Parts: sequence; C-alpha cells; structure tokens
Amino acid sequence: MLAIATFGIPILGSLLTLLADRVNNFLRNAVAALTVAATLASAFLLIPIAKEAHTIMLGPSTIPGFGFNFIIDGLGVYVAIMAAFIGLLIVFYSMGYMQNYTHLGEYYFLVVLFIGAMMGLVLSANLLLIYIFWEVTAICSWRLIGFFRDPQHLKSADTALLMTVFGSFCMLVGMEMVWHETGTLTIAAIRGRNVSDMAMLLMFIGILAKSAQVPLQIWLPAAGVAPSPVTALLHAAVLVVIGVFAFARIFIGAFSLPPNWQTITSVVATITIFVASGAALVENNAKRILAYSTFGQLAYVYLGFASMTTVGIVGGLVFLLAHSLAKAGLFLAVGIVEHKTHTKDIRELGGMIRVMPVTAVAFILCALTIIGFPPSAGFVGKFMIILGAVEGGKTVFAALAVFGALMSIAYMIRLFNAVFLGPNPSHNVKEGTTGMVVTVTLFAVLSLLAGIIAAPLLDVVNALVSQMFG
Amino acid sequence: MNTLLLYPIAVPILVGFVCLLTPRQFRGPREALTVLTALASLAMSVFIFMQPTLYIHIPWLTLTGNLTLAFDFQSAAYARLTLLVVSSFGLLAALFSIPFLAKHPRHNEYYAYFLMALGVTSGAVLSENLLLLLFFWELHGFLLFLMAGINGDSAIPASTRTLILAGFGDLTLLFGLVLLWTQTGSFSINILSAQAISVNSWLMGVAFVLMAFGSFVKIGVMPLHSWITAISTETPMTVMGYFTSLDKMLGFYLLTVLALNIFDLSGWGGWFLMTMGVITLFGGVLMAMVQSDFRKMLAFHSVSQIGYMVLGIGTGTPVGIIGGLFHLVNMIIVKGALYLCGGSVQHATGKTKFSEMGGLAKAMPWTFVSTLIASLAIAGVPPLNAFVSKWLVYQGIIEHGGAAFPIYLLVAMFGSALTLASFMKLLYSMFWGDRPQELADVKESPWAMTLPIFVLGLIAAGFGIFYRWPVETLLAPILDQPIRSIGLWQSGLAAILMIVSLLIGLVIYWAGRPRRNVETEVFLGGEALDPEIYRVPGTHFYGPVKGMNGLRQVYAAADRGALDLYLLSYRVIKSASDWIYRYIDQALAEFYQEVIPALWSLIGQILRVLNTKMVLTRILWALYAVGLIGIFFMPNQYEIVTLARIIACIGMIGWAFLAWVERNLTRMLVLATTSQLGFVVLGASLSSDVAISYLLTGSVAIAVLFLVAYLIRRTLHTDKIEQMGGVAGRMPWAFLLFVLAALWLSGLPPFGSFFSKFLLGVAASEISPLLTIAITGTAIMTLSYLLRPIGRFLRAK
Repeated sequence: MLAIATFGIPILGSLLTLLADRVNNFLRNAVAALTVAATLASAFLLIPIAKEAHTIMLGPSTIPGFGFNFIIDGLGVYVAIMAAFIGLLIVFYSMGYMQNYTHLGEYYFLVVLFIGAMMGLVLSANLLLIYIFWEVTAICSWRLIGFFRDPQHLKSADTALLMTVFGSFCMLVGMEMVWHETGTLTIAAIRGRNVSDMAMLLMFIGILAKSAQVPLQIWLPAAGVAPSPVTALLHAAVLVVIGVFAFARIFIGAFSLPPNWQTITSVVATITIFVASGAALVENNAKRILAYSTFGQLAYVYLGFASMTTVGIVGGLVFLLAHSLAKAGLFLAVGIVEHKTHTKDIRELGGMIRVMPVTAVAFILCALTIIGFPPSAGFVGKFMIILGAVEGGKTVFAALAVFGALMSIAYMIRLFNAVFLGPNPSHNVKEGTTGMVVTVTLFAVLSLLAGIIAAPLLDVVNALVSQMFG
Repeated sequence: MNTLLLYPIAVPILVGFVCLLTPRQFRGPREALTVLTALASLAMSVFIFMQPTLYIHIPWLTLTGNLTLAFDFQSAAYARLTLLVVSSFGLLAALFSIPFLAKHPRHNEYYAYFLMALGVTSGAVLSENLLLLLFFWELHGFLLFLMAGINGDSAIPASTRTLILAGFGDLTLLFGLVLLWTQTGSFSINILSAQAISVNSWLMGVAFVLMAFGSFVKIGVMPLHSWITAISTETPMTVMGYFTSLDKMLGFYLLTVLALNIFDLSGWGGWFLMTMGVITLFGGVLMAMVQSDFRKMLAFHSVSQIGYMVLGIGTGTPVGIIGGLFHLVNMIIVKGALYLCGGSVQHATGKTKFSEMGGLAKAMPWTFVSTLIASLAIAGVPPLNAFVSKWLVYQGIIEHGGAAFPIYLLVAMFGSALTLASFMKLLYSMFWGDRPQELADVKESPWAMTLPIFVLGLIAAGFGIFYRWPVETLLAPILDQPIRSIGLWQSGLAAILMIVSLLIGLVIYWAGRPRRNVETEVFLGGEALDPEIYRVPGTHFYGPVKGMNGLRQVYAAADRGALDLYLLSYRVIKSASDWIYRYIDQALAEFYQEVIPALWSLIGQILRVLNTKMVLTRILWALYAVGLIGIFFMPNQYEIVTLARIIACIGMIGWAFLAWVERNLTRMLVLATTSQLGFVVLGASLSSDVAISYLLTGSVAIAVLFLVAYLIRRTLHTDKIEQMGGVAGRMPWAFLLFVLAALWLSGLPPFGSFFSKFLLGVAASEISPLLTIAITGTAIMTLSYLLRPIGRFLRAK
C-alpha cells in the first residue's frame, strides 16, 4: 500500500497542482511542496519494509509479460529517498527562482509528475513497467527543458527527447527479445537466466542515452538551457540517475553483468570520463561545464558497477548520492549567479565571491565533493570505485579514471576561478533570495556531512548491495 | 593515556574553526589563541615524545566487508619525533606571524588555516593506517591551496597550480595505495612493515613509484616542485616558511616510511630515489643562483636541499638515512631561519628584490648575523649543523657503492659549493655594499621577529657542534640498526679549532682593512651624477653563469617554461581537450542535430518530388489494399505475406520521411496516417488482434490530430506550419490535445497505442529483426515529425 502511495501521491498531486494553479499561486506552490514532502515521508516509511525485499502484485494483466509488479527493496528505496529529498529542496528553491515567470502551473505539474514517475520507476519489478515510467520522465523532461519556449530551447528539448526516446525504443526492443528468450519480464524471474548479447546491447543503449554516456551524451549539455532548478533536477535527482538505477537493477541485479559486459561498460565509462573532462576544460558556458561534469562523474559510478565487486558497487552508490547532492548544489549556485547577472558565460563573469560570499563558499564545498576531496562523501565514493575497479582486475581503467579525477580538479577550479574570483565583481548584483541561498547552503552542508558521518550511509548501502546479490 | 594522541590533532583543528568564525577585528585575541594552541600542541608533543609508543583505535567507517577507515593513531619512534619537530616549528611560526600578519585583511583565515594545518599534519604523521594518512594528506593539500590564495587575486594562478599539483600527488598516492591493497589486503603500516614488500615485482614497483610521487609533490622534488616557487612570491613569507616546511616534513615522513618500513628498495628502487635526489639538488641550486627575488631564490634552495634528503634515503644505508633525516631537521631550522630573515628584511624595507637592497648589515645587525649563520649552515660549512648531515649523506653514498656512486657523490658536493656561492650573492646584495638612499632610515625589526630567528641560528650552530645528541638520541632510535660512521671527528675540539681560525681571520681582516672610505662625487662629462646609478647590487654576480654554454640553453628553456612540467602538461591536456571538444563532443552534436535531419530531409525531398499530386500515396493505398487482401485470403502463401510486409515497411518508413518535409499541417497528417496504416498492414500479417488494437488506438490519435488541425486552421486561417506560432498560448486546450495525441501516436507510454505497438514489436521480432528495426525507426520518426508543429505552436507568434 505504501509503495503505491509513494508514487501515487505525486502523480495525483501533480494533477492537484494544476487545479490549484487555477485558484492562486500560493495554493499551487503549497500543494506542490506538500505533495513532494508527502512523497518523501512515504518513501521513508518504506525503509522498515525494504529490509527484506517485498514484491507486490496489483492485479493481473492481459498484456503478455506485463504486470503491475512492484518491489520494495533497499536499492529502490535508497534511490527513491534520494530523489524525493533532492526534489523537495529543488521545489523550495524554485519558489524563489521561478516566481517571475509564467506557465508556473505547467512547471510544478511537470516537476511533481517527474518525481512521481521516478518513484514508480524505482519501485517497479517488471521491465515493461520500468519502461513506462521511464518514458513519462522523458516526456516531463522534454517540456521542462523547453520551458522558456525559446526556439533554441525548444530545439534542445527536442534533441533531448529524441535521443532518450531513441535509446528507450532500443531498450524496448531489447525487452521484447528478453521476453522471447526467457518468457518473462519480471525482474525476479529473469535473475540468473541467460540473455543474448543483442538484447543486452539494446537495453544498454537505452541506459547510455538516459545517463548521457558517450556517444549519446550531447543532449545533456544542450539541456542546460532549462531553468536552473530544472537542470538541477535532471542532473541530480531524477533523469540521469534513472540510467544508473536501471543499470543496477537490471544489469547487476538481474543479469550479474557477465565479464564481457564488464569490459564494455568500463570502456564506455572511461571514454565518457575523458570526453566530459576534456570538453569541460574548454567550454565557456557555466551550466554546460557542469553538465559535462555530470555525465563524466556518472561514468565513475558505471566504472564502479562494472567492477562487479562489492566495494565498487557500494562505492558507486555512495558516489551517486554524493554527486547528486553536490551537483544539485552546484547548479543552484550557478543558478543564483545566472538569475542575478543574466549570463552563463564565464568570460563575462568574475569576482562574484565579493557580492555572493555564501553562494561562493557553498559552490566550492560542493565542488570538493565532486572532485572527491576528503572529508566529503565524494572521497569515500571515488576511492571505493577505484579500489573496486582494481580489485575487479580493471587496473588500466582505474588508472585512467584517476587521471580523469585530476582533470576534474582542473575544470572545477577553472570554473570557480572564472565565476567567483577576480579583482572586481563583473556585475553590480546582490546575493540571491534567502530561500535560494539557504537551499544551496543546505546542499553544500549535506554533501559534506554525508562524508563525515558516512558510517550509517555505508551500512545502508552495504546492506542493500548484499540484498541485491542475496 | 592513549587518547593523548588525539589532542594534538583535534585541538588545533577545532581552535582553527574558532579562529575562522571570530569577527575579523578580533585580532589580538585570535593571535593569543593561536600562540596558546601552538604552545599546547608542543607541550602535548613533548609529552607524547617522552612516552613509549602509544596506540589508539577509534572505529569510523566500515567501507565494505573488512575494508575500514578507522582512526588508528600510533606514536612510533619516527612519528613522535616528526610530531615534536612539527609542533616546535608551529610555535615559532605562530610567534613570528603575529607582527608579520598584523595588518593582513584576511587575518582570521590565516590563523584558521595555520592551526588546521598543524592539526592535520599531526594527524597524518600519527596515522597508523595509510588510508587515514591519505585522508589527512589531502586535507593538508587543500589547506595549502586556501593559504596559497590568501593574498588575493594576484595569487590565483599560483594557488590553482598548487591545488592541481597537490591533487596530482594525492591521486598518485591514492592509486599506489589501491595497488598496494590489492596485493597485501591491508593499509596498516604495522602489518605492511612486517612484510617488507619487494619493489621488484611489476605491480609493486608501480605502486612504490606512484606513492613516492605523492610524497615528491609535497616535498618539492623536481620536476614537481613548481608550486613552491610559484607561491613563494604570492604569499606572506610566513606561509612559505611554515606551510612548505610542514609539507616537507609530511612528504618526507611518508617517503621514509615507504623506504624504510613498507618497501624493500634493494635494487633499482634505491637508484631511483638517489637519481631523483641528485636531479633535484643540482637543478634547484642552478635555478637558485640566477634568481633576482630573494623569496624565489630561497624557494629554489629549499627545493635543492630536498635533494640531499631524498639522496640520503635512497642510499638505503643507516648512515645515509640518518643523514637524510638529520638534514631534514637541519633544513627546517635553517630554512625557517632564512625565510624569517627574509621576512624580517621585507618587513623593515618592504623590498624583495636584490637590486633594491644593500648595506643593511649595520641597520639590522641581528637579522644580518642570523642570516649569515643560516647561510653558512645551509651551504654545509663546518661546524654548523648541515655540514654534519651532508657529511652523513656522503658517507651513505659511499657505503651504498655501486658503479655510479662517484658521480652521485661529486654532484652532491658540487651542489653544496654552488649553494655557498649563491648565498654569497644574497649576503652581498642584501647586507653588504652600498645602501640605496631609499632605505637610509631602515630600522631593525621588532624583537618578536628577530628573537625567533636568532634562536634558530643558535640551534643551527648548536646542532652542528653537539651533533651527537640529535643524531644518536633523537634519530638513531628510528632505525633498529646501529650507525657506523666513518671519520667522525671530535666535534668539540674541531669546533674550537675552527672558531679560533675564524677569529684569526677576523683579526687579520680588521688589521688590514682601509681606515676610512674615500668619498667623492662622480662626474660624467663634467656633470655630477647621482651616486645611486653607480651602486653595485649583487644581483648580477652570477650573470656569467647564465651565459655559460650548455647552461645558457637550460636557462633559456626554463624562462620559456619548457622545463615546467605543470605548464607543459597543462598545454598538452588543453590541446587534447580542445580536440576532444571539437572533434568528439561538438562533432557528435552536429551529427545528431544537423547531419541526420539533413539526411532525412534529403530523402524526404526526393520522395516528395516523386509524390507530386500524391501519386505515390495513391499507389501505396492501392498496394495496402492488395496486401491486406492477400493476407486475408492467402495467409499461408509465404511470398505474398512477405511482399505485403515489405510494402507495409516501405509505407511506414517512406511516408514518415515525407511527413518530415511536409510544410502543410493537414497534408502532413494525411501522410502520417498513411505511414501509420503500414503498421496496421504489418500487424494484420502477424496477428489480427494486434492489427485491430493498433487500428483502434491509432485512429483515436489520428482523429484528435485532425480535429486540432481543423480548429487551428479555422482560427488562424492558415494551414502552413510556419505560420502557426503562438498556438500554445492562444489555444491551450487544443495544443494539449495535439501533444497528447502526438505522443500517443508515437507509441510513448503511458498512452494507448504503446501496448499495441509493444505487441506488434513482440510479434515482429519473431519473424525478422528487420521488421523490428522498421517499427522502431518509424516510431522515432513519427515522434520527430510531430515535434515540428509542436515546436512551432510553442514559439511566440
């Protein structure tokens, strides 16, 4: 019941938000925030149930292979809480950031629906069900990226939709092949069955497209035209995380990632790390730099997963959380700068630390997490990923990943220097609204805290990983 | 008792936070707090030093299974000695900072980083676990970055370089640790020490070199030294004196632990370290000789002196190792003194360039004497302390033997001679010669500055004359083996003899010097000239060195930055990044966003020409009908069914291309319908249920699309997609319906035709993968062309 509530509340709530928009702005914002808060609460309530994986069947279906099957387990609840929590903070931030724009009913409807689809996705126990929620998120992100209705934005939004849909159609064909080969689409039933490489490849393409891994990465930097809270949502809480989650759920949980796929994933991840770091070192648009960083850092998570060692997978999941918190903070920090100065070009920015000290400090703290400096959770995560890769016999990939980490220091410090340091503030502006600054600070503090008091986090992740294999 | 180990780590870090958060104007209390904390740190270190080895284990993180990151601290002999040196140095530096930093705008940050660095260094030194050491190590690197940027904007390039080089060192150390762990399964220094891992296996050799590189960055071994020289001119002198010394102690501590405890370096490992040492000591002194700013010169000298230490450790002989360690202790004292002397001069004169100074000996006697002692000491002039340590290192080289040892010995000794030569330049330029008129009324720095320098000078002399105490009592316990020293002389007697000979020399000098300086005006062509022009600064003493063949090219390369590894790598990475950005990322973007649509348009345009007056479309309809009839009446005729499927696929794909280039909305929908009918025909050949369900769900969407198109045409009086801007704003409900129907028709869930399409795909994939490709391709194209009007509706009019 709780599982249904977890995704049912936001999906119904999104419609309520639309209705509330007809009444007044305050009610709409309140409904949106309350819905996401209730979603988060409901996800929290799933924790005791998730200690032992539960599957739920919601009535039969006439479609072959399909069924309303849900599973409540550690992995799903971990990602659900993460997404709902970050989503909630982003909704709060939006109230300050978005207040001067129109079509806000559409905005909150899509954001809440987005989170709802994410909740449904992580709790799905059927491949086809995963796919359905998967496409809902694609549709939501499409309208959110093109939210400002500028021709260039609409083009970026269409690119994002078409590329992810191309991936997901491939994935759907892969699922059809799985259905032929195993006669089932229920994840628990697929576990341990042999699936052809072609089916794996097709599903892998879908995952790559969603997580913006090379060569399907280009939509993510282009999606930076979206409002900053949306970018944060896409990069941190939901969209790109979906690919990672599906990889963990399907490729690791169900297929146990055969050795040749470990190599393929490692190769893709390593190439992605280098393409992302290289592009981020050259790019001049602050949000695009962060977008490159996003898929470059997610590649580390894949690298950890590809090791198929406990330490690598745990490291990957810890880093996923650390990255989400920090990347949300980074986007929102850059969002404050962009909101005030109306520019994203780092060549036009500078000296912002003098007018936005809090934002600047929050930015550098989040950047430390992304880079993986101690005592942030990024350090623990990245270290475990590299350790896992070496333990899994992928020493060369691990060495390249270490080099990529050096490049991430270089592009992060470049971004920070260009935006926040320099002799004089480039724009005569003030710090963002209290709500925005508080949200950014909260993300910075959380990403640090996640490292300092990482013991419970690591316990949880270890438990859920052993559950995945148990 | 064992919790004692936590205090020197935790207390400075916590007080550092207090310093950071106190308001800027609370300067006095903050200074007092810092000195008190440093004093307390020293007291605790002394206390720990007196105790036998203490150990404490506080669990922290269980990463997974048996892999843990815990607070394991241990005061082994070497660790507690290093701790003692660190905290003594911390106290002196704290005292010296007070006058020097009194007016610094970022007073609070300075003291915060200062104390945190003290705590973090103590933490790294006391770590029993290499992972914990790495943790503190990286924190220290980050603090160094913050401190390097404390002078503001001019320091940004230097601090960036510091962070990146520190990051490089951290990451090589991390990777080396990871390799070590996979081989040994442990990070514990105690456990690893018991194994004495040979570097002769491939993997462990790499691990050793990587970890050694980590320490090389911290101690500034060439070519990883450049952060030291870069920040030397951009930070307060105390930062240079204090932070780089802490870094050195830390890096050297790790290198020693690696060389002595963890790895067995017999074979190439020792030669590797010795070679790095020799390169560093010689390269450093060569660069030092030609500097014109004393901060930079001192920075290069400290790089150079590092070479002796690494050389000593590399010999692997007890006497060489002790020599290296003793040299470290000596250099901390002597370099500390020199930096503080420089700071004192800078404080008094505000100058840092040799050419702007001169003749300060009279005005600043205490600073001068201290500088003199420290300069002679660093050059290795007996009986001062560095003489002893260099002597021990030389002995280590001899004892190590091997074919090439005379070369190493010669270079090391020659480097020492050059050091002396280069300090002659410093002494002359700063303290002797004529004083520039600008500096006529320079006064000695306050006692808080001169006293620490003078004390350091005294210690330098004391450690040289009474070397037995530091060497045998402090350092020897680190090694288990006894030290065999060759040719150790009776220091007391030797010192007395040397002092006597110096006194005799002084007497001779005093007796023979001219009674008075003759002063006269300088004329040129009858015109009196400013004597300032004829002041001879010592800056160009070693100009000829710069011009020597062979060296000239080296210096020229150094000026261009060609020897700067950081700059070189940065350029390489930057151009590689440019390439990646342009030819991978942007090229892919262009491919997806420009090339593919252009290709589609081309195919579409060709078909469009053929389809003039809908000729082809009508033919296709007829073919659909024929195909359907064939399927219904001859379902078992394989050829006919296959032909029908081919027609269906051609219709699906071809008319999707046509719809892609169509400019008229209604006509586009007609083409779309034709394309969708292909699905129905295909479905009919697979299973009638699927065909019917697709027909039903598809019809709903098509009907809605036509309806909206009709409404739009009625409202806007146009059927051209180009002219349909602003529909989303004017007709929101129609727009919403259109979007939903478009998604529905494309087969995106959760809308109706998704399941029909899924079933179609399942059925088709049984027949041929080509059918699956056709279905999927058409679906994605359907979405593509329907997005065109939607995009137009959304745009402003």
